[in-house]
Amino acid sequence: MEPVLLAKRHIENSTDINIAIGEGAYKALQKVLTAMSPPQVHKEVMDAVLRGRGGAGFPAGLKWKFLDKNPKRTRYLCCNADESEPGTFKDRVIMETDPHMLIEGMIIACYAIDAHAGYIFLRGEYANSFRILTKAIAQAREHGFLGDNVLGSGFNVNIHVHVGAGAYICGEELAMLESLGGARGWPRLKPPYAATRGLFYEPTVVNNVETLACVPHIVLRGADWFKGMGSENNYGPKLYCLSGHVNKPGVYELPMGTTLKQLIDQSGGGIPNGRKLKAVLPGGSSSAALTAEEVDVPMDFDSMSKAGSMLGSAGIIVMDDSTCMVNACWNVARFYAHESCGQCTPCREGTNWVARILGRIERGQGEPGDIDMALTICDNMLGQTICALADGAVFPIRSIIQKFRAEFERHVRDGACPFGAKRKWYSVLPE
Amino acid sequence: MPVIRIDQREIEADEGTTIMQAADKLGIFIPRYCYHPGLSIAGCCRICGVEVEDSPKLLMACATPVKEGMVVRTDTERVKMGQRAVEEFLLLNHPLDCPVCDQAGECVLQDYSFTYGFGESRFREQKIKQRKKDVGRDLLLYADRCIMCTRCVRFAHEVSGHDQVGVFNRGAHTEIGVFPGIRIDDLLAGNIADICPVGAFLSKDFLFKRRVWELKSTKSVCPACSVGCSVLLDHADGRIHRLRPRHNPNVNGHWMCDIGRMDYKMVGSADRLKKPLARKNGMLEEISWSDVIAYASGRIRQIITRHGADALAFVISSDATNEEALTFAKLAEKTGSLQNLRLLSGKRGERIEFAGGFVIESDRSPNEHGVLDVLKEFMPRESQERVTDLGSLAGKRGLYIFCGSHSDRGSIQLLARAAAAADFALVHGNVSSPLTEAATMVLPGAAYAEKEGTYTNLRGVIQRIHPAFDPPGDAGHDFDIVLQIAGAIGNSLPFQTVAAASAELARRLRGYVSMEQTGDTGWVNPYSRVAGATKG
Ligand SMILES: Cc1cc2nc3c(=O)[nH]c(=O)nc-3n(C[C@H](O)[C@H](O)[C@H](O)COP(=O)(O)O)c2cc1C
Ligand code: SF4
Ligand code: SF4
Ligand code: SF4
Ligand code: FES
Repeated sequence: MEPVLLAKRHIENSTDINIAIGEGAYKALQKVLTAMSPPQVHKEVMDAVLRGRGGAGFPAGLKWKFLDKNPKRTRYLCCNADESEPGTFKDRVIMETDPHMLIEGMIIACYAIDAHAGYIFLRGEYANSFRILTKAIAQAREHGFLGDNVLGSGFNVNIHVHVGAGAYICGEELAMLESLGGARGWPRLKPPYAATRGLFYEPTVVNNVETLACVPHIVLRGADWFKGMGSENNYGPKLYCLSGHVNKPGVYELPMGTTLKQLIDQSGGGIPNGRKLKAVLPGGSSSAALTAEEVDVPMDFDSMSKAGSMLGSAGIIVMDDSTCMVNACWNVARFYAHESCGQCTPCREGTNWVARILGRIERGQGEPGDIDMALTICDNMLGQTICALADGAVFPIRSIIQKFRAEFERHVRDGACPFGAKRKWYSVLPE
Repeated sequence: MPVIRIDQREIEADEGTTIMQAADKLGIFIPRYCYHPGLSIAGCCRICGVEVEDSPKLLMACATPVKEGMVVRTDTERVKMGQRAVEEFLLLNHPLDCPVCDQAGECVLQDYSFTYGFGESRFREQKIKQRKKDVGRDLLLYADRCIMCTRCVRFAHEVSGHDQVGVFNRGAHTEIGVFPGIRIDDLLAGNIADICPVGAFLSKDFLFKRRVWELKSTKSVCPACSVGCSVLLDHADGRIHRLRPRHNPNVNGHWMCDIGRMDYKMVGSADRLKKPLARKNGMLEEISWSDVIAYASGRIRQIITRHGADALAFVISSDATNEEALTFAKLAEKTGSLQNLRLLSGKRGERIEFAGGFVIESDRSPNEHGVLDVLKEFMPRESQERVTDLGSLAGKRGLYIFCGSHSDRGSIQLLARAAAAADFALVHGNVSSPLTEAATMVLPGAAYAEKEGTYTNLRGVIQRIHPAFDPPGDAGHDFDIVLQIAGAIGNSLPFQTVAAASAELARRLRGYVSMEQTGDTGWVNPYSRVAGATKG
């Protein structure tokens, strides 16, 4: 397909506003400000069925619709650029190769929802993205795309970048808003949702970078163009992140619904060193694992959920047959134990406990009963918490144990890891 | 109002309330750690999950509003599994040092482990340890006993507003702590130890003093200011070991302040007067109670016959009960000295208001309003304006001063001078002071924890206090002493018991009820001048 979100990726200096304008940036904004009312913009996004690219796939048009429109309240737009899900690096590519597309999308979204301030909550480690975004925002202001009276339309809007402090949980919508508001990044109890009580307790829309980047294209080319890609209810271009055991890791733009098999074999160029595929975490580390037999599945929201996993952030983590699944499982578990915000009892204690059990199994200190115990702990966490982090820990851990149980049993039986790999110890958890 | 069903029982719940509140109303208990009725909802401990029809997940009862037609189950296997899971999770990294933990016996974690837990641990890893910290004037934090309910954090934010407490680190290493360079030293700090469901926040004052099951609790009222917080006196063997606030929506909500919390120390203090004393050859010497009554009544009669009833004055402290004030006024009425009745006002301090609306009043005595109500009922109208004018007593030949544990230095000294100049000065008190030093006769009375009666707070809420134990040594009940002296003067009063005096008050004073009718949360006098309760 013709690249949309990555169209400027290989253009030199594409982050510079003049080059970007030469490539069509801010055309959509001009169209919006001269020829479209906010409801018309909203309708276009609604008609396109633009589903959120942050993981949950909730339609952006609906999210905007649920926003409290009380004229006495201040509305905010927040762009979720925390991108901390292991295996996910698509938003960074957008911000570092086409920041103006994101800025334009945010201005248009603000226009549609009657907000006058947008915040980009940026992952702390993305220093380069921060430099590029700040420069791009300054240039956009100089060009009259940001600030008071944008392009003489009477519409005022500003965009601010806030750098996170390195917590995965701050990617969760309400934790992000707490953090932006100056508090500890703890997810809030829902309801109320951000649409009525968001940033600074005002109505707020939170959208992912990729979601917002789609908006100028939808406005410029129309909902029908957008719906020309993908399948029923899963439309548009999609960025896929390939990592792990593939020949050509990287970010690929393909129509929504490209199969996982095609992504690994064609885009990724297959598994290196003639090895065989063993397992995939298809939607970032929070998704349930698929085995080599299960990869012939379209990578869209509904198909992935039918396959027992999820599209999530489309961070495809590929593992070949040299991978110790116990080690992989432990690795994932350690991440969630480290990142649990500590608020809910099942998540705070459960993620840590499971990680320690898995660590013992991997080190050859597993005991009979450990595997089933780990599974019951997963059951006790699932669906029992304030945010979805605990579920995100259970999906990969439980599916890996279930689908590769024999490997876990062998670790326990032999009292050693059959892969014999040298372990790098992490300081995060006590032994 | 929405009608819902909980465990097959129907209830009409109040609009906007939660499943937890509706269940409480039905007497169906749903376990809770993070929920506290005086704080915002956190919904984080996850112990209160219940089954709600048409909902795939367990819903948290504390955080789920009731909806018309809702069908709730709190007793199913799934609910029990959820509770068991949370109990298991909470004990993983818990030190289980109950034998040396002050909270044992009133620990929610301990109680729920018996009721909802497994009784056996599947945990084979090493527990995470955290240090004990000294975090305030009266607070220790045993961080590894904490179950992260965040009640303390919400309290410091919402009720005291001082925000000293926060959450640090993440995951299983998450820890409650105090921000660097800060201590929890505000005057509501003690409540944090009360609301902590486990032995994480503990009071230094109470630390290792007693196991809680050895304590008896007596319902009382804090005497340290005119709010009159409802309290529990926790005592053993005739000593108070701690005070705790008693929930009272009419008065203090869920809280009390640390001034009041520590005020109990006076009750057991070594300075308490324990023997009746009379001056002989210029020295105060012990005398027996029978001699006290005969001697005191003799001197009072003598002053009246020699100098007239106007030479006699009666002063009563604002920490006397309404019933004591009634007896005292009756005595003054019998001797014909009502124009010389005076109130000994309480100490004044700074009025302190907290973020959540809790107030410590500037009048630091419990019953100025009640005593005034009684005195004014008896005093002739024209002398009422002098009711607090102690200076006008200079030159009186006979003084009867009921000073309780009153301690305002200025008025004590003023009275001491008047007493020194009088022919006869009788003082009832709890502790020695310049006034008792100047008296002709000193009678040891009862402190608030030792007596029965009612106090009226500054908003007109009439609350009952109960005796926890007897006064120390030979100290007596001021009520009985006044009664006996009145009898010995030849003017028996029309009642002999506190209860009868209380009934008499209810008959005479507008808006008053007898002590039996006050209930646990007090009676709000509808005619009181200041309306509204302290929020808490
Ligand atoms: C633990 C956790 C971490 C998350 N991290 C991110 C993230 O890094 N970036 C993101 O866009 N969404 C993340 N999300 C999803 C957001 O909560 C939210 O659904 C999303 O930003 C909404 O945007 P969208 O509707 O455009 O997808 C995370 C969710 C959870 C539960
Ligand atoms: S599920 Fe985990 S990360 Fe999410 S709020 Fe609860 S403790 Fe925090
Ligand atoms: S210290 Fe006590 S009150 Fe505070 S969070 Fe821990 S258990 Fe709760
Ligand atoms: S506010 Fe007043 S009545 Fe309440 S505890 Fe403090 S001193 Fe006692
Ligand atoms: S009491 Fe409901 S979640 Fe804690």
